[in-house]
Amino acid sequence: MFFQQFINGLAVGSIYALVAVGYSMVYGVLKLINFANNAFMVAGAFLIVLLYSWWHVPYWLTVILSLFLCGAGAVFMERASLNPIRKKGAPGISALICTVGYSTVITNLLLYIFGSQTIAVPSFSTFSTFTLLGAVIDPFTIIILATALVMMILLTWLTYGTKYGEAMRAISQNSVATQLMGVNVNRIITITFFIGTVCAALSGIMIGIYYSAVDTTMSFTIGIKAFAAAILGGIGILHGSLVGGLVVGLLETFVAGYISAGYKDAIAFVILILVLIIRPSGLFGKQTQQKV
Amino acid sequence: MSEVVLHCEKITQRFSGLIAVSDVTMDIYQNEIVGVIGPNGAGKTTLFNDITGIYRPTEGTVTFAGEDITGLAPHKITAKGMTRTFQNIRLFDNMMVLDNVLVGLHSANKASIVESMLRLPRDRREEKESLRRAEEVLELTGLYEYRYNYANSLPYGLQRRLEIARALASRPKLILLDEPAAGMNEQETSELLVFIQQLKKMGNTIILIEHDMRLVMNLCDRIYVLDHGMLIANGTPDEVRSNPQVITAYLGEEV
Amino acid sequence: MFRKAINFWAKHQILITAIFFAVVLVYPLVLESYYLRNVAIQCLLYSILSLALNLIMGYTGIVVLGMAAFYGIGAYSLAILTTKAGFSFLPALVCSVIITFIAGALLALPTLRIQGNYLAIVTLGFCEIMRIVELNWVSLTNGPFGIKQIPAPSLFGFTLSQPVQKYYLAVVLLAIVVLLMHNVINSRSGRAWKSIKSDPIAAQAMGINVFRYKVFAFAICAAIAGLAGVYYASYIGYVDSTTFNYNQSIQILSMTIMGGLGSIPGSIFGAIFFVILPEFLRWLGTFCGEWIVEWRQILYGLILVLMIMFKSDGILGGFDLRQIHLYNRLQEKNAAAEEGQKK
Repeated sequence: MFFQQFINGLAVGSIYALVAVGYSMVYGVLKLINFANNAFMVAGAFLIVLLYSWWHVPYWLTVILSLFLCGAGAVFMERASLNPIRKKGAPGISALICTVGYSTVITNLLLYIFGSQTIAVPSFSTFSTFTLLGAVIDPFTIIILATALVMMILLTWLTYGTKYGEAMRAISQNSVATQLMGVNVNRIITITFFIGTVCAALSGIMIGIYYSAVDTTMSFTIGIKAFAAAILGGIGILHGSLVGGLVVGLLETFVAGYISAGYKDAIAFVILILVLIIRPSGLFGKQTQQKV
Repeated sequence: MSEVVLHCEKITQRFSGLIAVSDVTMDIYQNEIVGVIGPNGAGKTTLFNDITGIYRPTEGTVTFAGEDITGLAPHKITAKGMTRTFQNIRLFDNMMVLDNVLVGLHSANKASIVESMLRLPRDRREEKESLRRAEEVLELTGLYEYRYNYANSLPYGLQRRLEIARALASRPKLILLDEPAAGMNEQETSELLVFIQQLKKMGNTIILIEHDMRLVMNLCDRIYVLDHGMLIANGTPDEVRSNPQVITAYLGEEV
Repeated sequence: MFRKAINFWAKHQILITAIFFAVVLVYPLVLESYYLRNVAIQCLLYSILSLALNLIMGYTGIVVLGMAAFYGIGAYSLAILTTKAGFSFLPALVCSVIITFIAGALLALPTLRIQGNYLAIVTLGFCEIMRIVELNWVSLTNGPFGIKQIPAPSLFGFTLSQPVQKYYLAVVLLAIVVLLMHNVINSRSGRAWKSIKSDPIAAQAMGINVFRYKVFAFAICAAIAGLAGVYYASYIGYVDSTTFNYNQSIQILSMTIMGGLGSIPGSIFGAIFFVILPEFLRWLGTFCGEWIVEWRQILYGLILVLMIMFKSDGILGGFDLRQIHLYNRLQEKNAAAEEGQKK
């Protein structure tokens, strides 16, 4: 029982972690909570349904197209709306509300196309479960874990081992100075949005396959849990998102298993609020003092 | 000499190892204009923030009108009769000039939210009284004709003036001016000089931080000089001007 | 053109407000259709909700993304008090408003230290927690079945069972909210809120207890939304948790933002616009097909995005009618004086 819960928790947790990374990357650079991140997450899963089940595109191409389209959507959002808002020097909350607007548009567009009932997301292969230490394990869980881990390693390398990452971190310190150093800030921001959203879309696809279902309300429920994970780990910090995601996933599964399934969905919110009150910078963030 | 309004006793402010203000002791007497000068980064604004409660001094005490106010919240200190202006103007941009001054009268009034909602007698009486006082202050500061303009539509010099008007409204016992002449041209600065002298004649007590030496030397009764967070001199403008330590601190600058 | 209309409005503010309420009062007498009356009640109800959000977002500058939480608490409180505790309408109303007031304060006390963007998300989380509680606390809320047979509002032994009576109750509630808000906005406390929005540090330096004022703004906003919830529950006679979800919050947010931050008529305008929009789409649907009705929510989001991009404080935001009136009058007086001097 315990081991079973543990494995399930890890799987869900790694998915949260990937969505959390999407929040973290954008926040790290822009100090913006990109609320549309969660809409792109479900869009990723829905696009699989559209392309594979309805239009019969080969599966591998479906995945690539889905990720690319979501990334492109986020880039559009950044270029068409967020960039102009930033240029106007509007307060940060405007950009947040703008992403809330985009999230509403996207989820309702999906609702319009696919309807409100849950839709089965096809998997690329069928797996037969196996038993380990008394727990029934879906091999897909292992794929999720592996994907999350690989993505994390890739992203860490990208942020700390490449020129792009260097520029990204520089922008988060001081965007104007970075611009003056000859870095094309807008391009870096665009790339960040693209990568962050691809992570979210990828996890959306995995959620869809894992639960073999997707519906638009997941955008909100899972999206905000992932946000809680990002906050818990310290938003803007990649390994923080991973740990945060796993903690939220595990706690949630254990609460569902041992306490009450009904309140399972409330756990993430409670964590979110508690972390923000007690330690707003999260587990791995540095506490900063406000300057007058 | 007259009564002590503000007494700072050995104020020290540390920020994670960095010492911004070190062991500063000063006294401000009634109806004085006192200047605080020093090179950039000398800790002048930090000292102001310690006095007005934005920071809590790491060590030392601040006594205001005979009362220990160390570590009190800023709004409580204001309510006791100490107001300030800011180095970079902090007006309420999207409010009328008149409303800006009325906010300055906040601590002079008591009407609660419920009283205001229902327009109960105390609220109405206070509103009337505040309006009268605000208009008086606006006339005094030459802003009366701009009273219905938005604060951010005023020219720079007048914005500075409005900040002082706002600080003045509640008849404070002490006003702290943080670089009131910053960014002003010569004309505006000399107008400011006359204006602050006028404030003194009306009985106000003022501390000001300023970089404009001519203004400070012409205006202040006494001057405290800070360097690297430490008090290196204090006295009348003439004494300070001839102090060798001050000259060293300002080497290359005209004193 | 728009500017001219605003100037005219500012000059004849009292007259225009009077005309507005006159139209509102006469409306159900002229148009007796059940459908139109229902739409009008929705307009009044959402006006109250939108005003509540405006108080905290437009005036105090705190973004609340979870308004539906307080709306729901108000509705559930009334439902539980009247159906399970045997309260009559008026005491239940008062208790429910007090409960939401306390709920708002309790949420605000620990969370207000959180930086603005996070706080917005926290309110969203709170909304979701409330929804989950409403769904799972079966002994109190009947869980997914909701609470049925909530009695119609009654005042001093007189039951308001006719739709037209309920309509007038909504008018009275809105009028009270508008009046109280108008009073408080142009007072010491209102100025304190506005100054906090503009510059909290300067506000504190003016002697304003920023934290206290924020808590009260939160609590009053919650109480007003709670009042709307009370009305909703007794009007529909039934509550369940699906009404008070994320989409509801976003809808209220869209109304307030589009109408105008820091503008009372703005909030009412925003509410009317967004209530009529789907009805308009439904009407349009009879010509170009039903599909357009489904576009309602998409349009909410789209309008939100466009508004934020092009006029982030809403259509009537940034127009303080009082200021415009005073300013224009002064200019006219000065111009007249100059004219007189010339002669």
